[in-house]
Amino acid sequence: MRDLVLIVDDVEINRLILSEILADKYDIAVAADGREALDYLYGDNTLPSAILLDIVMPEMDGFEVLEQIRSKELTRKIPVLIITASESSENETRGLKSGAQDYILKPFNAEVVRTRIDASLKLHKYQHQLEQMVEEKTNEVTQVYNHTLSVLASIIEYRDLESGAHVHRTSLLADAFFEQMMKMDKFENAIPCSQKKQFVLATELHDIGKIGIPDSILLKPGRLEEDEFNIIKTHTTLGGSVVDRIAEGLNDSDMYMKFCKEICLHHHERWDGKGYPMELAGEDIPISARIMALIDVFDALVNARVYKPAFSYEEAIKIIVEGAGTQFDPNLMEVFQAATDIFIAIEMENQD
Amino acid sequence: MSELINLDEALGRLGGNLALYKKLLGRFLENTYIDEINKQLDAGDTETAKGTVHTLKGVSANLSLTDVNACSIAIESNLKNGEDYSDSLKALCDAVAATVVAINEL
Repeated sequence: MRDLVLIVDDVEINRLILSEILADKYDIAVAADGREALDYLYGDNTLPSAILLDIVMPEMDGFEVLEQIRSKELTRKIPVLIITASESSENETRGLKSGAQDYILKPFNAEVVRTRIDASLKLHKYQHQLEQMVEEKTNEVTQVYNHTLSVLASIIEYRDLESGAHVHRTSLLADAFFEQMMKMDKFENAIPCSQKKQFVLATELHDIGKIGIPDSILLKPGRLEEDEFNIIKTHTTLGGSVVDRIAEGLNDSDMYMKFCKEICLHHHERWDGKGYPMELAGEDIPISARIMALIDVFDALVNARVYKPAFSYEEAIKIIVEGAGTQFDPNLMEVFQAATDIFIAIEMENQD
Repeated sequence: MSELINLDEALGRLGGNLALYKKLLGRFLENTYIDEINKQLDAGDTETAKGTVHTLKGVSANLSLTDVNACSIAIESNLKNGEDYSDSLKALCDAVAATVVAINEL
């Protein structure tokens, strides 16, 4: 399949000459001014692999067109070669600085035009290939990395006899809760849809701080003394430090580490400010942690623990709902109640 | 002949396609650059005239119409510098007229 070149020049003779020079090797599309060129590019047409763009045109000059092309996702990677007269080297520099790949002088030298277009296209294809390779490699690396962290999270769970199932269930609950939130439009600004995966993965690490809690306290079957409880509470700040260590030197462009830290540190805060470790209240608590708190408590209620038996699903739901405004964010209740069926299904399918 | 039309250069640019060159010359003949330039200058609109001269300069370069190109450059410079352009305008008109004759003789 031949590459398409779009020629933008207000002088018909120029368009004809350029078409002639390139028609052997390329398919050609033409536009007589900036408006036509933009209409072509953003209409339902085959995108060109390269654009030849005249600078001096009426109404919309080449630089304006170039700016438009560079600002839109659809077209910003298409190589643009600007056409300029030999006495205006300022146009060349300006063009190159504004994102043109190369420039072509008038009057046209057929060989030069061909060579420059060929070269631009080759470079463009090569860049594209590289970008794809990097994306693939990055995905591989990310998968390994996420997997390692998941396993790490499960290991923590094994230590305090709750098994990795709690971690697994809470991430499923988080996913279901998030999906429900997205369906109920009012939460668009809470966490963008594009970050769902990072948020859900981050929930797996919420108790990673328990690694710093001595067995004598972590595994104690009876009631905890006050000083023992104070030590347990530190699993939040400890978790935060662990996340800091992991995040050191990492490029957290997709928010995963940020969520991990928020969730580790604040999943035991309460809406009314009586939680720990920082007694944050209301919307000072990051939304990721507010959601985590609700899910964590739900899962704890419906599963047996060393210090309590399992509650029934109805009782657990009642307790959560009654906690609105005190322990939990009241705005999340609507979402929770819409998701109870799926929550119950997840619990039933993923027993310890 | 080679001052008015540089045939070798033109054919080089167009990969030897004489038929296309003639077609493009035909297009050139259809255009009314000189009339427009005169009209614009008479109306005192030097800005628009400069634009038309610039276009003519480019087209004549691409079509290897050497004389017309040289004259366009001269008058463009006059107009840019606010100088008297009556001489260069006449030279341009003469060059275009002569070139039209030469094209028809090709």
